[in-house]
Amino acid sequence: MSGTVVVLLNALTLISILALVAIGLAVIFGMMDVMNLAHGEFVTIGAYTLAFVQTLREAVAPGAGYWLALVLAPFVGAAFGLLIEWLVIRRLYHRPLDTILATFGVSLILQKAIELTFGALPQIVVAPVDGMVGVLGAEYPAYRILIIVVAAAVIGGTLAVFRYTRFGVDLRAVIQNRAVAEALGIDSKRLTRIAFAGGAGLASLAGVLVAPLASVEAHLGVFYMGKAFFVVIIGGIGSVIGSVAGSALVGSAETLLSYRLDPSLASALVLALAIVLVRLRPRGLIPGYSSAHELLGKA
Amino acid sequence: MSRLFTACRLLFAQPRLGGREKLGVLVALVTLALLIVTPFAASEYRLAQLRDALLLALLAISLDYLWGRAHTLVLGHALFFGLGAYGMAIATMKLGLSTGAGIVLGIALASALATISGYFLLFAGVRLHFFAVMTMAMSLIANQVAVSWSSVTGGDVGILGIPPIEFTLLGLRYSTAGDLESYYGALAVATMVLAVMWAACRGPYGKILEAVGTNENRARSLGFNTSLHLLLAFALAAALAALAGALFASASGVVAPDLLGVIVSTEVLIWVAIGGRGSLIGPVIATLIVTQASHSISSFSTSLWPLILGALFLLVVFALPDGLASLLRKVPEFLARRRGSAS
Amino acid sequence: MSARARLFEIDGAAKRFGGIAAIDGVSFSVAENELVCVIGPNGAGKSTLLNVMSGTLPPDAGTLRFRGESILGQPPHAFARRGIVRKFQGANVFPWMTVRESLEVAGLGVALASGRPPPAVDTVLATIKLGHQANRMGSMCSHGQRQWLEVGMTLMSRPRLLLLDEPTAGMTAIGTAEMAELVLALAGEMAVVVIEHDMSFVRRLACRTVVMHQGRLIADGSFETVSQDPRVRDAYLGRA
Repeated sequence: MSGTVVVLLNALTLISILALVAIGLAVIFGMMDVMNLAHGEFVTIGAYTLAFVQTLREAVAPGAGYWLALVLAPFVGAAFGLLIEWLVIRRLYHRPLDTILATFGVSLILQKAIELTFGALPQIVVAPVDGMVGVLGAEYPAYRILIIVVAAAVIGGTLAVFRYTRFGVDLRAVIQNRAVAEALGIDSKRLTRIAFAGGAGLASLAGVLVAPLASVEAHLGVFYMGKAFFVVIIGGIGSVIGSVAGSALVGSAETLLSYRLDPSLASALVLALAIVLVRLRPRGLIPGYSSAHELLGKA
Repeated sequence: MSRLFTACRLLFAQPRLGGREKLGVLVALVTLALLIVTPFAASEYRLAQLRDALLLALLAISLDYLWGRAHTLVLGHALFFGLGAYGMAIATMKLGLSTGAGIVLGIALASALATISGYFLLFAGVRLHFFAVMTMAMSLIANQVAVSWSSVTGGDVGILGIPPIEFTLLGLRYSTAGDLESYYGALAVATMVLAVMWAACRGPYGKILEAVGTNENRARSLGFNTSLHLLLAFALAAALAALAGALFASASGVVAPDLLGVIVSTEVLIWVAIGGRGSLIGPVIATLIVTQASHSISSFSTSLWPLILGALFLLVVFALPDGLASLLRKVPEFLARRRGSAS
Repeated sequence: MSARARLFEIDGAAKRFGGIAAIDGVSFSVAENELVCVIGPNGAGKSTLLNVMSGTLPPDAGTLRFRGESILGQPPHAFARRGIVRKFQGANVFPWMTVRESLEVAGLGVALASGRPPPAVDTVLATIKLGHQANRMGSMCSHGQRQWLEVGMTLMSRPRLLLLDEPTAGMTAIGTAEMAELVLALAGEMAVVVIEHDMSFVRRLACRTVVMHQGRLIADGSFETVSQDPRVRDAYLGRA
């Protein structure tokens, strides 16, 4: 029983991180038909924010520094998001393929810039809590529980914003049909900017959360970008609930598989799963909710 | 069978050489001539670099076919190059087979992967950037697998000591062990593939690709099974990339996970973008020039090249969407317009 | 109409988008070489009907038969290969190919599948009166020229049932008259179904006319009969 609880909690940890990263990707993809290949870099930026704050040992203790970084990182990420949106995305408005290429370039530049600034060696970060905690009869690292709790709260909040606020309704309108939304007076450009920054902020938050568990170096984000992408495909473009559902699927599959197989082979299997699922359900797990795109023509 | 034969004759019928094409052919012939005499002027080291560049140019041709002619962007094309290379390495070093078998294995692996994944994706209607990013995901995963499945792939270090290609033709024995043979072998293969692809895409088949790639709905309503055409193009491009990879592995003697990596995928996109999508010869020349430039830059600093690569990407996207070859094309267009306005 | 003469039958077709039924319970058939016009106010479901007939959109319900054989669920290119060819609304050409090249490609589609050679490009060029523009790039053609090119491309596919979606949209009066002439000439060689808004064009064709309103077929007869039908008047005037 305790073994199962541990597996479940491991899966939940991965799912939490994935969902935070994927939501931003899914929403922007839905709103703008744009795939930002530099999205993974927001995760890296979040992790490095934590590393940076924790190097300021004289000013603030690493433990307290963590909480500071947790609050600060989303803003740092959002700022970078706005910068990218302004420099690159905005100028390639109706050229989705060129946007991909351009963000690909930005991603490379960011990774290298981070490497040049901080060096190639992994940064040292410290979790604010350590030790184990008893959960349903099993002993589990307290920090991971923290991740799950924080992520659940933030995702819950995001879902609520999406469903119950005026802002959320407007976002959904733009995702469903941008032209009609604009005709209804919705300033889609401003909304997109905010959504972009918001998605980046969420990804950076994920970066802070995952940093103590991972190797904080320049390529950290690429890893999560790939997985977030599967999540979006499976969950449905433009759907927040879909991202959560997709994360649940991808996260569980990977966790379970990595007990038996090499993690990279586990990833390969999950990718194969994603590809097959696309064939069966091109519009994602939650039918009827993702926006129609020319990306999915009728074969 | 005769239906297939008639279809081929129809698809690959060669039209007369057009004005713009003549310019391209001229450029290609001049480049070939230069490359043939290069060994007399270049150092051993430079020759080896050029040989590698020629095989990478073959990779560029395969991407130009897929992206420039069939209008299908892929972000992880190095995947197939790497599969070809690893196929060669595993066949020769782990399975004790000949280099010929290595080429076959490499091509088979790449084509199989392209066909299977392509079937699932393309026939589900996945297109454009969705498709492009899927290929990127595939190459990322392959990279990870290459690093961790050390028993098969040699892990981070890779596989070393891959033998050169040797075969007997018309009673004479050829071996790519020597620098000159290796270089001319690469040049010969690259030239042949370029010529074949150029001829194949000049005629009606090329028009079909253009139609399917630029306006799929219309093409479908004209009776073309567009998903099948895209799948075939994807598989063929993968096979050609794998050929390049297998030859590369034999020529350089080493394979490592980098061959499957983001950098190579990015570089080949740059070569095609700079050289001019669809021109075939443009990407070849761009590969030769850019690879030599990157070697010079990397000798200063290893971090500088990826930064420049990223910047080049942005530059190409914003300033040169049609690449350098389009500048060349503008010459005949400009002349034609002058003539047109006079009449 | 005997079963043999019925080239194309659609029975009980329905298609919903979200909560709205774009077409509902539509049944009609087209005979060999018959000319039919489909008219109706905006939003009546005419384009959806054409999409269903050409295989571009699978219906949620109903059957589709071509020469007695069910073709429901086949992919669009299979429809085209059987001879059900459509011309899209708007001018949907290949931007980077010349007029001649576009026609050549169009001919290849069905020719490759059937093994029969395509019609001569020059003949079709003459029919669509674009002989002088044969070497012009698709993107350089005017809107009217693109409409004609589109029609030309469909002719290269040797259609048995030609589906024209607003062929005179954006054309001048002369262009419209020429299009009417062409359609009448074609109707002897193949079945033609035309969706149109331009009433003078429809009147000139003087053929069987089918009226759609809110996804349903509300009238089917000669143009005279239909134009005097009070339900049709009400539909157009928004009273229905």
